[in-house]
Amino acid sequence: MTVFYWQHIDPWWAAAAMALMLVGIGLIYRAWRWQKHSGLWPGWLLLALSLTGWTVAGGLWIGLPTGISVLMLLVIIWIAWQGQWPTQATAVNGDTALANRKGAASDRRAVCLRLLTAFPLAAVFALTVTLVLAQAVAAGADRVFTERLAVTLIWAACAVWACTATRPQQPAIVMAAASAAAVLILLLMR
Amino acid sequence: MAVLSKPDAKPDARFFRQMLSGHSLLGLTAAFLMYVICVSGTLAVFYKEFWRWEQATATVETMEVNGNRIERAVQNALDELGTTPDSIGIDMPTSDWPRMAISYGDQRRHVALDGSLEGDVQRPWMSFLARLHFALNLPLELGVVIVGIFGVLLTALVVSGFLAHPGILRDAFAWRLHRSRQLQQTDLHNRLSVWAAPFHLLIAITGAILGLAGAISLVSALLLPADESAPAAAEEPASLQRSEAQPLPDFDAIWANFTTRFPDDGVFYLTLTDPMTASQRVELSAIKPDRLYWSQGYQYAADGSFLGAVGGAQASVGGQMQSSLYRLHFGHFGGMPVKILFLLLGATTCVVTATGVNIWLAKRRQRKLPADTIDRLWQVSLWGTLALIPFSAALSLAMAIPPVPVFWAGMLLMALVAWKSGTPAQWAAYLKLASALATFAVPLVHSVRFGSAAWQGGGLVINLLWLALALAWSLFYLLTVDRNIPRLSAGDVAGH
Repeated sequence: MTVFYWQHIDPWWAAAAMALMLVGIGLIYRAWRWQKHSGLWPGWLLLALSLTGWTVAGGLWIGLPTGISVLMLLVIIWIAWQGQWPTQATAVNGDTALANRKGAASDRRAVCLRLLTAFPLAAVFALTVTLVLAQAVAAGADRVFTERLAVTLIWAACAVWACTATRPQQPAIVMAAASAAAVLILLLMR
Repeated sequence: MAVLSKPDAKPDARFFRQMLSGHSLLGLTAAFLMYVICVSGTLAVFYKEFWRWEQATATVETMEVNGNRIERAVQNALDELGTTPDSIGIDMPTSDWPRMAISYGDQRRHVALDGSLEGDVQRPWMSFLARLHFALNLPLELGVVIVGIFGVLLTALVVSGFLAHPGILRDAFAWRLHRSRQLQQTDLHNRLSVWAAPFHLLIAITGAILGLAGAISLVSALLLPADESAPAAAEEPASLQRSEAQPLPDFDAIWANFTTRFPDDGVFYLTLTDPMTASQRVELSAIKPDRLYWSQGYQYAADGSFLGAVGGAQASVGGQMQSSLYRLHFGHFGGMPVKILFLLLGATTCVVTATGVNIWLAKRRQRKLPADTIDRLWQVSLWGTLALIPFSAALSLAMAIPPVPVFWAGMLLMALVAWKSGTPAQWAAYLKLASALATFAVPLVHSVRFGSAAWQGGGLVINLLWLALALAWSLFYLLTVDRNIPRLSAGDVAGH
């Protein structure tokens, strides 16, 4: 009696969508490899069409994520297939290809400050600011999900900012001040 | 080949350098644990098949369900328990776990075709692997939150990775594995991370939300006034509380009603609340074939009449999205083909993590900075993880040795030895070989223990997976090992 999903994906639509996907990848690759500009936008359009085909094949909930997964894997296979692999003659070693990059965060104190800002402080900032902003969303499951998604995205964005800001103190000060303000608002709301 | 980016565009070099530096800092902060989470998560996509594999001969595998089987199982559980619990749960057969198991008190037992109770459901190795993935084998309250933080970190890494690479479109298909090691690793890292970015973001964001949900709710409860719209727990009327014993629900009528009313839905769990009381109810949790949310609940009264649907489509948009995170994260929304896709895409996450650190090590070498100790430890982390996971499975199957100490003590021991001895190339070579041998050993041990059952049903899927991995590691070992590396000697181990 128990059913599973795969049989609910129409194989003909899926096959057609996959064919479109391959042509689309081929056009984009052609544009990249041989500078055939004309194929670039049709390529992306075909990929969009193929995802539409996957949606028809299996619905928005199942077909679309399946199509996106297939697309990612097909492109990676395509890249590996067309790539330049090592041979006996070309097996060169010795890391001479890239120029030396300076500018890594060598100062330990700056690194510590960045990490402290990126994790504990950004977490506090994301939580408190989200809780204030989420008050605008209707209560219940919608608010709960909004809070969880927003905390994740805001925290991630703040972590990137903390680790890449030219002056590490800047994000730390902004996040600390905003967190304090948000906590104050939350306490007033109680 | 620069058609995808404007050739005259001059990006701000300082911006990209700063982004790259931040990306490296974020990645190096957590590389080892991130890698362990990725590897264990990639395998855990097949967790239901692993459950069957671990107890290959424990019970009959059949999709046959009827009211009589359910009723007898519930009656047997109540007889054994001696008291009436608040609820009894039954795992129903599904296509990826075609067994029935009943949970009562702190027991979980398989159910035979006639409803009699069989042995306990035991899955020590899969529990280890799952907990390694979602809690790093730490206490759940702490471990789940830590892994959630890794989800945030992975999200930040994907975003900063895109911002750090000005030539990401120019090099869209570049795959120059015949060039220097640094360029090989850079191409692998960048191509896989760009083209699999939707998958990486999906896994990272859903993982972060699942991991941090409890902590966020706790902080929300502490800082916000109580949610007045939340329904208060209904108090049972005194007349219904523990009145005289009632007969069990009419499972035949419930099952017949359900299969007629919802023929496409797949039930995976049955809950009987307040059994044998006047308020007893049955809820069937089902997978809807065209939806991602975890379950659609259908409630039935004891006499078999349908009371209504709960959760699933009845939930708000936010509730449906929250409930859909699990199937999206696990890759459980398209049967075996999507599981295989998630296995392969999960492998790209592992490769991206590994190559990220490899690039950083190659750059250190280029700058003449010391890298050998870190490189040795990194090789132990990479290949030690791939060797110890199957090694723990083989020991668990063969001698019931708990996998948690095998994995973590083994990792610690290797790290201590690698701290002072050998070279990175030696550690990589020996551990690649050890990974291949340990992975080959698992289906071998499984076959010895379970005989022909090892190559049927869930056992077949998992043993084929082990064999495929073992072949992959063997090929990787044969293709990449440097035949001229000296052997690890006693002197190496005594002190480098």
